[in-house]
Amino acid sequence: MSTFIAHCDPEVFSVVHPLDDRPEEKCSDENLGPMKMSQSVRISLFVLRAYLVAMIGLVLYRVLEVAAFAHH
Amino acid sequence: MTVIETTETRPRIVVKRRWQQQLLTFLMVVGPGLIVMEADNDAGAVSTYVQAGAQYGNHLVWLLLLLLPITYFVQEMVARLGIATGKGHAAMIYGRFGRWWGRFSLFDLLFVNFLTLITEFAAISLALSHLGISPYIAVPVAALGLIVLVVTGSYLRWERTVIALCFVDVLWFVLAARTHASYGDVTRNTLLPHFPPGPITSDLVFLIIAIVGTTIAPWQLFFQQSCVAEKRLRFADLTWARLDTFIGAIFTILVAGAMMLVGSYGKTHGISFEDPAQMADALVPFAGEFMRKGILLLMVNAAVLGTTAISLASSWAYGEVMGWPHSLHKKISEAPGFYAAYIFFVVSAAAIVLIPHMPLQLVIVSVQVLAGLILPSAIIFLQLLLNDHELLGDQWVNRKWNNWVNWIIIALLFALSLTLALQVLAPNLVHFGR
Repeated sequence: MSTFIAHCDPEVFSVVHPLDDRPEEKCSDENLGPMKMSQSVRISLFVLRAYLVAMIGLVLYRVLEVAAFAHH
Repeated sequence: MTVIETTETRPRIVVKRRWQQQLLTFLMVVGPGLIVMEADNDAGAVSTYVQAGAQYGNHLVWLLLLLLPITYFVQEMVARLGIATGKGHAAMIYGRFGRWWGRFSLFDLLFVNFLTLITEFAAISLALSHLGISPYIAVPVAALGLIVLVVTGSYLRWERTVIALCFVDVLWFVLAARTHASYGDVTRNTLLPHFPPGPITSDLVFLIIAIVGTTIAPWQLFFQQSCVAEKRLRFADLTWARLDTFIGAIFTILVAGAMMLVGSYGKTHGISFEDPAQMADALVPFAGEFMRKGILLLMVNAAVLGTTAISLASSWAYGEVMGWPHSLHKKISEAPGFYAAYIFFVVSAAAIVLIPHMPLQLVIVSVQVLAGLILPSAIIFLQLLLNDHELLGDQWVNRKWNNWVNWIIIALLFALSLTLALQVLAPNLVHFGR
């Protein structure tokens, strides 16, 4: 990493701000497409989706219930 | 120390000691971790922690200590993923799980974030009205200030301002010290997990879930990863990003503990209140004007921190999924969609707060619970991404112990979610001594 290379004098250290440094080659997903998942993972994610929808509904129900109680 | 320009046009700072180099590198990297953690002590958090202290004294402080490693482990994964990919969390979900999950996650995030933003502006309105400033002035001015903070076209200017606001929260320690709490009691209640004396009521369970929901929130995953990508942190910065996250986690938990102590002070004096602003007023005969103004101004600070971080989390995520330019380095003309989204979130949340008779305390607690419910599924995606060898290779994926810890965290969060669900569906079946 260029940030940590001492130039000329081995007793000298240099620091470069991340925003001023050269761009690095990152792990890219551009040519990978969607992640390969087993059937069980796929089903689990579907269950998770249903769970999330149900939970959001429950919280809204609770909020409306408490709001109605407070109103009366 | 010397700043030099090289032929590569990369400004470098040259130092003579290795520790100086490490310290400077840390200071350059620090930001995303500290901000994400401290911005999590937002208006809703102030309300929740103070309420916890007011109802149960110091008996729930241990919960914060338990949440410290959890919040660190989760955010460390986010920082690692951000450094490894250089992309935001929404972009990764969209890219690796497809369009449907990408949009579903985005909708969840935007929905909870928007509700949270309403609570932030509600707190600004409430606190400043107790200081004699009309909400019709305070809220629009705050919204304008939050927009100006972001649209300057400089990430570093935004980051430095927000870090300064984070350090304002040190004042919570001063307020906590003025409560003269027994250090022995606080230490005992911190180190020994236990339920408060009396029956385990539905309210207690609801409050515990709210504390978890406010300490680790879904927007944090999206915010820190986008922030790390925005700051272009390098692979070599990972150690410092971890330290940044760890220090942020410790700081935020200490501040949360201080908030509980302040709430507990209200309990000691038999004060009943519906929100922290009322408590601030009621504490004047016991603690003076300094305590009152301190609590009210810290409420505003918490809300400002929360608003800027949460609005940015939403805007970055929206920009990533829509494929728009989304960067604080860009001017408004270069990333119009990104800035328009930020302005839209801020302005509409501010406008809703000005509607009379909004049940704001209810909205605040509900948002914390909703965030607690959505969080486990958000962490599952994070977990799957951190085990994506095809994307990350062997170097950046989770180690086996990482996975064990994270699955335990996910199981705990799901257990809390299901407890809440049972409580709502069948309160008589799940008897908590209501």
